[in-house]
Amino acid sequence: MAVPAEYGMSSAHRMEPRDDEKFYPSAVKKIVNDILTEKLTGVSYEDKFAQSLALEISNLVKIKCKSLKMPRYKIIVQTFIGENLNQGLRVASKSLWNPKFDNYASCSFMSGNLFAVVIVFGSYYE
Amino acid sequence: MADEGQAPDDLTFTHQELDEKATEAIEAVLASKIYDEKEVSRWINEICERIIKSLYDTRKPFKYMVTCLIMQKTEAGLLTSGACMFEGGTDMMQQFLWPKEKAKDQANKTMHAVVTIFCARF
Repeated sequence: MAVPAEYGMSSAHRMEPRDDEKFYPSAVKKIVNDILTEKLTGVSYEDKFAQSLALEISNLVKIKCKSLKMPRYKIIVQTFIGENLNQGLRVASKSLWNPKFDNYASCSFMSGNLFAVVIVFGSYYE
Repeated sequence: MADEGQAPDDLTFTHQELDEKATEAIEAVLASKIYDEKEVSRWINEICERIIKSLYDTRKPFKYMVTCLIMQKTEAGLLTSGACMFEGGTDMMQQFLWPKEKAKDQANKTMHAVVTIFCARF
């Protein structure tokens, strides 16, 4: 039974994302970079505002990622914002997923007394 | 047919379950260590691997993403936040801070660790 491809949001016949519907880290990284420079240039770390700032950045990145063409992807955005006091810090992640379709993009930003790290994961919903 | 092998706890993870896995992994790796720039990447690797292995051993139909942050204890402030677009009932995102508040006495005095676990159903 032939179902025309453009009808397909059902899981019935799509086994993997089309080439133009994949999670491309480079495109996501560009979005995150723009958002970070826009929101954080000239900003200094303050307890009261850091919380809402981190949440705002996370939500903004998530919304902008939805505008990229990735219809069957689950998007997860993580933002870390901290005060830069010459301390040592390391952020890393590991995942168990399907490396053919799932991917991540990460970006960091540092200026003055503030640093920020954003990680975006995309997981294909099979 | 939908009932086959689909016990209710197959659908999601509880906060407690994830908390146990995260704490166990961190304690095993960081318990009495001092912050050391050269060792940090190895510790993070090991923590993430332990957590992923224990998640995989549950054999639930999920993809996992584990993030670990280790920061030297200074007076610096740190904030983490997460935003997700996934399925409400089955997917999970949990963050865990170590050392926990109540364990202050035996707690590690040189570093903080934050572990985030995402589970996405497929």
